[in-house]
Amino acid sequence: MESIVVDNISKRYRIPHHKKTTLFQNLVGLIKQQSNYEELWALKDVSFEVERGQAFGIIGRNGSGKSTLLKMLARVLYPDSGSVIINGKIASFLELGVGFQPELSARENVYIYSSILGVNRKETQRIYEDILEFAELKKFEDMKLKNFSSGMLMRLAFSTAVHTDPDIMLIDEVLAVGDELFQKKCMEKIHEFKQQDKTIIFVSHALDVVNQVCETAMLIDGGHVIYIGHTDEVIRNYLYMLDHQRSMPSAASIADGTRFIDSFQSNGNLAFPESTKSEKIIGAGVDADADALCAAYYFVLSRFSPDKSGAVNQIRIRCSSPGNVKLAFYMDYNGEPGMLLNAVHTSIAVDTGWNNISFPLTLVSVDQYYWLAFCSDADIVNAKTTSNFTRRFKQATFHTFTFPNPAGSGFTTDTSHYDLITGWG
Amino acid sequence: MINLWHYRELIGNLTIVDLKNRYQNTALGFIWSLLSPLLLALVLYFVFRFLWGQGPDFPAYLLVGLMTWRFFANGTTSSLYSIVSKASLVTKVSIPRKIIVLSNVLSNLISSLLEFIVIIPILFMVAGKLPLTILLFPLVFLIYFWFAYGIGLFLAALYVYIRDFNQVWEVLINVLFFLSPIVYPMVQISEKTMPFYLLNPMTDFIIIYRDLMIYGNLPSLYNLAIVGIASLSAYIIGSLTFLKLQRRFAEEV
Repeated sequence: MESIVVDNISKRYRIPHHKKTTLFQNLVGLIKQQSNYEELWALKDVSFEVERGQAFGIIGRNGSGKSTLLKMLARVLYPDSGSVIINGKIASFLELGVGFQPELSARENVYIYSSILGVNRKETQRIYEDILEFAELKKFEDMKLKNFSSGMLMRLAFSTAVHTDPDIMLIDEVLAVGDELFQKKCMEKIHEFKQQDKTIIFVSHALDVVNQVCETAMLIDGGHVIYIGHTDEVIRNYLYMLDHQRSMPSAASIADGTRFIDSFQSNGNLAFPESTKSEKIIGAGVDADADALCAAYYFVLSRFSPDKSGAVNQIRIRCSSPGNVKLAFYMDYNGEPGMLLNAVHTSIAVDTGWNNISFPLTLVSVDQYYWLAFCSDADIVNAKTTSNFTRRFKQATFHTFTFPNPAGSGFTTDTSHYDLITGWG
Repeated sequence: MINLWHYRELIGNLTIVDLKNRYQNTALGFIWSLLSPLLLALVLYFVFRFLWGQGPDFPAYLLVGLMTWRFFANGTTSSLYSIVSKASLVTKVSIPRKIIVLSNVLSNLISSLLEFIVIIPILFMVAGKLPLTILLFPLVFLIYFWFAYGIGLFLAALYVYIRDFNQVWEVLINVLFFLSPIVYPMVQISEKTMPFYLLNPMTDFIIIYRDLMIYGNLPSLYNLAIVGIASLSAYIIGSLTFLKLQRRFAEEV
């Protein structure tokens, strides 16, 4: 049974140009009738499911939408569209010690905090001793909270929270609590939860901890789900993403064009009415540094703006001989291919001449994407080889592509629009 | 309502926390918090004693009016700040947010009850007797509570979005103070303006309280109708406003 079903949720924040928080500003805004805010999609069309008993990690850069998502699960924020279904009692550790009263004693605060977390007085009485024992604060139970150290506060809060017997726990970077020994206890507690078939949603930048706790993870960026899969796989993608951002393009080299795929376009009839305007051919060439896994890559790389209505996207490739082609899609990062989006297609048989290839595409936050068509001997289907390929691709040298531009068909763009090909790695 | 019953322990806890924070100091601190309204009453008594030919029951008149007023003024003003000042309860945990306002008005209700308990012996001393109708006091207080709670919900939600609304409310409440028969007798109001004057629900609440606690009269149906309608509409408008605005509280707080 699913503990959590998130169906296609989006969340829009309004970022005011000048924040109107006074009455006067609000009145002026009403009279002027101008739109005074920009819209920022903190989350866009996010869907995933978490099975009961699963530990599910969420990773992503700062500002990628992790916390917004977690707040949505905690029912603190509401989605603008889509739905969140939660089966079971949820405990959110967005912040520990919410509602702690410095002027009251530890004992009183345990009762207040657990009532905020939805535990009644009788139940709190039952678990009270366990809470203090786990927090190692038994002898301070009558001390006012204002005299506690921050470590003691966090221990008390964490201990109270974990003893409230939730079915689902949302944990947001809160494990940096207390000293080494206490952290170890926290991890033990989390593993104990896993054994009790409880669901855990774990958000952290500590990737090794995520890997240790979660079997499955999700990578989000710019409010979009980039990848859901095995945690180590997701982490690898994430690291690639971070890595790539830092890398600088190296000097371009010039070589002759492709042999196998000699012409291509993103389909103008179906999905890309503006394709001839928005599309730019970035590069095509041969990966000279081929290895045993992939004997040779012939590839073309092209930037395009996909159809956002969700229709099937289509590209056209013209080949000089029959063969097999594989496709990969990347999101745009500052004018370069960034994160690998879809797993590479299984081999698509192509004939001599023009071939239409339809593909589904996971849209993310950017408007621009790259598609990469390539062929190789290796059958690149699973994620592992994909990620190998990604690494290879990263090291490849890009060449300028001399576009054949067959008269009357295919892609008609002035050669001057072609970018000088940049390679990186 | 059923929903709120489920959260009764949390409501109780938050109310007690509110009270403890208000009276957290020494025993004298608690006494002071009762003494200050009495001292204010004393000041007002000396100021307004000679105006308008006040009757012999003026001390009782003034005390009941002032105490009645204080619940409304304190309850609504602190409600206005309640959501913003308890931001972490909004942004970090999922509890029904009206609980925050409710527990705030409840703690003000308890404070107000304490104040009334203190003035009852004074009323007895001044008048030499206490009317039986005082037993109806809790019933009217219940209506009064919903009135303040409704307005509190409205103000709390609005203040999240409009941060200088506290200034507006401060002015409004001062105007309302002098629009209500607290420091002056009602004979000052002309025949012509009286119907409008009575439309102010605070006037009717104060009249009812004086009827019950000083004069031993049952409240008039007209007064009851006004406060009943006012409380119901305040609660409905407050709840609806709060319900609509609370969805984005966590972003705006």
